[in-house]
Amino acid sequence: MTNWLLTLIIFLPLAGALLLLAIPRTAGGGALRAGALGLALADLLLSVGAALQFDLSPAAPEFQFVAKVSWIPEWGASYHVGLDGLSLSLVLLTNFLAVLSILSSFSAIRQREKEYYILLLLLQSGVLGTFLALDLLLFYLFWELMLIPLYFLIGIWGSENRVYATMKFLVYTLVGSLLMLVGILVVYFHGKAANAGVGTFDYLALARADLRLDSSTALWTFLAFLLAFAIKVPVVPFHTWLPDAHTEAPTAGSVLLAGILLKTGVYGIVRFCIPFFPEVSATTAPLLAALGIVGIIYGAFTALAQTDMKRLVAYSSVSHMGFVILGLFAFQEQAVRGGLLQMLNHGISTGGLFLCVGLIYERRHTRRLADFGGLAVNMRRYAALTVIVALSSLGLPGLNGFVGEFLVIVGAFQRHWYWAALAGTGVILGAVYLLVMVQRVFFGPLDKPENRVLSDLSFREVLTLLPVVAMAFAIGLYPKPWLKLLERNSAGIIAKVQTVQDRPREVLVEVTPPLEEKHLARMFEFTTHSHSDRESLPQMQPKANGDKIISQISLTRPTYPTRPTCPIP
Amino acid sequence: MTVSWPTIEWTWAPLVLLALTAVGIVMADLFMRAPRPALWMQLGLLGLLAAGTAVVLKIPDGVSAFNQAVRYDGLGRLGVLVILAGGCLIVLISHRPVRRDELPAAEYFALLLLVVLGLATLSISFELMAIFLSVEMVSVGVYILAGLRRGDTRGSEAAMKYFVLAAFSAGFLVLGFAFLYGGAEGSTLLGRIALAVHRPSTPFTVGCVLAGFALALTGFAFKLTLVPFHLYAADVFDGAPTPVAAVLAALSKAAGLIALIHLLSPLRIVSNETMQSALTQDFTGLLWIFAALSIVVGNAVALVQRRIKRMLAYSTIAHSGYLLIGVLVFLDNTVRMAEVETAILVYLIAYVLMNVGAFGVAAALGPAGEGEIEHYAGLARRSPALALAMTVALLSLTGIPATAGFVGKLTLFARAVEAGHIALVVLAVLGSAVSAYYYLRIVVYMYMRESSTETVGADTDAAPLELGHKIGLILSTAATVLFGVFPQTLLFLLKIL
Repeated sequence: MTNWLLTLIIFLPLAGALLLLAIPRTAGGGALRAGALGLALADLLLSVGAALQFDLSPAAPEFQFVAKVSWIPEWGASYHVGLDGLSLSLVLLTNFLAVLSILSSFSAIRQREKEYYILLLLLQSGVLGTFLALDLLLFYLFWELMLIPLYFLIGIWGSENRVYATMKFLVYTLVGSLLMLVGILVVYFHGKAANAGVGTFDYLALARADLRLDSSTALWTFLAFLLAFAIKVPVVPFHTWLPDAHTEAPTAGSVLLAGILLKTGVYGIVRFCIPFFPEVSATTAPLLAALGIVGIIYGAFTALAQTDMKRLVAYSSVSHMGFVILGLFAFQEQAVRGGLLQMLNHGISTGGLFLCVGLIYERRHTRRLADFGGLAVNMRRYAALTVIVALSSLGLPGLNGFVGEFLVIVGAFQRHWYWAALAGTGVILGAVYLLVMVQRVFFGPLDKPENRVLSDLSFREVLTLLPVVAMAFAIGLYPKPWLKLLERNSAGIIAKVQTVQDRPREVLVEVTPPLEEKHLARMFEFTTHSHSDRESLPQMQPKANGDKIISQISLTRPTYPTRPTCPIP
Repeated sequence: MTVSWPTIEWTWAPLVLLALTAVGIVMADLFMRAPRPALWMQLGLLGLLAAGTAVVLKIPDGVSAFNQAVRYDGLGRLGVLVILAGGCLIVLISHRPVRRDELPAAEYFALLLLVVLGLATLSISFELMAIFLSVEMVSVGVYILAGLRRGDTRGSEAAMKYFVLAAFSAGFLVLGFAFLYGGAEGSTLLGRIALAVHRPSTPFTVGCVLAGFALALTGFAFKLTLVPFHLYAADVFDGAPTPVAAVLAALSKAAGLIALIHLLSPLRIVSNETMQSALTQDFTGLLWIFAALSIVVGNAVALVQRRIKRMLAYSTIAHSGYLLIGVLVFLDNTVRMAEVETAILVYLIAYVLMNVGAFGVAAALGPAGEGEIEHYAGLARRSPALALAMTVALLSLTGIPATAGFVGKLTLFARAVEAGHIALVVLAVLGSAVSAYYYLRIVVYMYMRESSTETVGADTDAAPLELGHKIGLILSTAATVLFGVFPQTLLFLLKIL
């Protein structure tokens, strides 16, 4: 059962990068640019091909186009890739933005072009591998591999403070990911114990296995995973690397960083944190949702205070990713789906905004809002496209941003009305800072002489923004296929968390407070007669300390109201 | 009818081959009119390869010789191969420094071979005298090699410092061995010491063994540059010729670690109740502290170094800390010995490869490249191949996936997690994250800073790199990547060799 399509998608950019390496320096930039763009386009076409063949019916296997080849048999690691709805949507987003960022670099990058395009393609391969890997070790390999090209992209082609920004980015991310490696090892050895001494890094096997983590191990391992992903997303206390990295990166770097790299964090949470640790996810959900809300509001207020366009967009990113986290940890069908969709929307809108900022920076070599004004007069195409992208980012109905944020807010409302209210302020603030930016840059008098001579967008530049606008409208007006694509993942998350919450009901039906004493007595009984009574107590099989978690959950279990699904506009 | 050949004692063969090559080089040099560095290099390589071949083909696992004083156990036998292979790489990356600094080539390569011989013997010694003699053989060779650049004050300082501190640590070692000799009731064989640990006859024996292990551990802590016995490392590395620093950084640590494991192996099988609690707990505690201190101090101090070899010296201190986690896991007899040994060997191989890569590039760049980090500014433009080799070595030292360094860390930390040393592993990975800062700062200089006219001018050696040096760097870089992407090739090699 091996399908090589995904392998081709992952490694086409990598192979292409090696081909570019062979182009002699004397050949000039034209061949390089054409080659890089051609490769990215080819990869996009391949992923669209995969999307067309993707089977959405509920009977279809969860992961499709699976390829599995033994990689390090001694450790039970394999080259195992597969595609589900979530990874398909992210692969499409990655390849879409990769094409645009290569196209946008044609005039922006004049230095060391060869290395630049090679690194860009390597980054693309790394990200695609991260989204498609179904083996923990392979995932970790790709996860770290995408760091290195980006480290060079920011450090070589960035603006003034690039070295500081790239080191900060790298060290921040490494702290998280190395702790995740410890987490992976803990999961591996628990999986080994559960699997009769045969260790495996295989995701599907580990997600299915009963890892039997005791409550403190589960919590710490969960945190080890979560920290890596939270730094990437970024969830608020861990976000400080982001404004620097975004601001200093070259345009394509910012686009890929915001559009794709941040999604690997969310992807990791959905793929690993929640399925491996549903209990802990459920208990920590209120806290994480709260962090999401803090991110929404903090990001919005900070964006409001920025004078640098790129920093403004970077903080808006923090705010928008807060919606994703809130949506996920609301653990409510619509919110989760909205959160996942918001993730795609953020990639398109924020990626688009970074492209817009890049275009004007290339012309004026400044990003300060105060240096602009009245650009709508002489850069009409640019103004029109940028306004649409900004509107899509702030969540205007009819454009993509609205659908995701609306679903998140509706879903969050069903959990706690004040979650929705607080998140709603984020939407309003988002409108404020983005419209302030639009107003300062495009409207008002065209009073600066440097701005009067600026030329409008060329055909190529329009071509980089047009697909963004088209996608914004497409998702905004007809989100159904995308929601359908993410349906299975969101339902899976809910199911995973709900089974945990249902479990204590089955086990401890008669347990009433004071629970501790009775529960302990029962456990004691169980352990003394364990061998003979095991069959009669099917749900009590996990170890004693495993049961303790369940009892805690049953005490603090929040209620999840089920309401009819909300019609999508 | 059969011809009866004189039987060859194969267990001696590799060691004798190395010694003969070394002596042969010095003798042959007497008959040469002009210095012949390339020839001595080739002869040295030949000797190392011959010794390696003898080990692979003729010495099976577990053979012992010299009345049990030497045993080719799994760890030691493969350790010898690692040291011989590392020796080959270091001979290769000596090509340029020897030619450029006009070092006395014959003496240099002969001494290098003798040091490698000492290290090889060290990793198969199962007897206290043999261990001590090997250690001294290495030390004496390194004194001379470190000070081989006559008139170089840093070199003389390095030699002097190494001499004083090595003599000092040898004192600890000998005293420790004397106590162990007493504890084992008059035997220097590790097997007999294990027996004494196993069934101590009197409380006096218990005390002797405890004191012996503690003092010997201190002696080894010097050799392995464990904090707080690390202070000489940075000065010695900085002053010694770069390939010699590489020997100290990579090979001497590999051999020292293997010898330490052999020495402490009696503690692994302790069954006696009192000894169990006293020894194993004391020693795991002690090793834990050594490991934690080395990781923290090594990484922290490396952050502020301005000279490349000093930075690499502190980085090896941190790596000693990581390796010590392996020793800790080894002492835990719930973990299977073969798995721990494989993990330690994998880490050692990666460690040797990446250190040879980093030191090899520094050696290729000449005095400036062995000095301040600023010199690396713009190296990616001046010599892209060297910059790439350095980048691979540094990424591997950091432990980024798809390099051998990652595979080493993964295998080692996996065993440590399995044995329950999670706190130490967390400390180690945090240390690795910090280390990214100082390793990749070199990469920042190479790729993200432009070379100033000053640094270009300091490129004393603009001539194309010598073939030997080139081969050495290509081999170490290629192996770092190959073992990183396909770790099973490394595991396979360990299995068949």
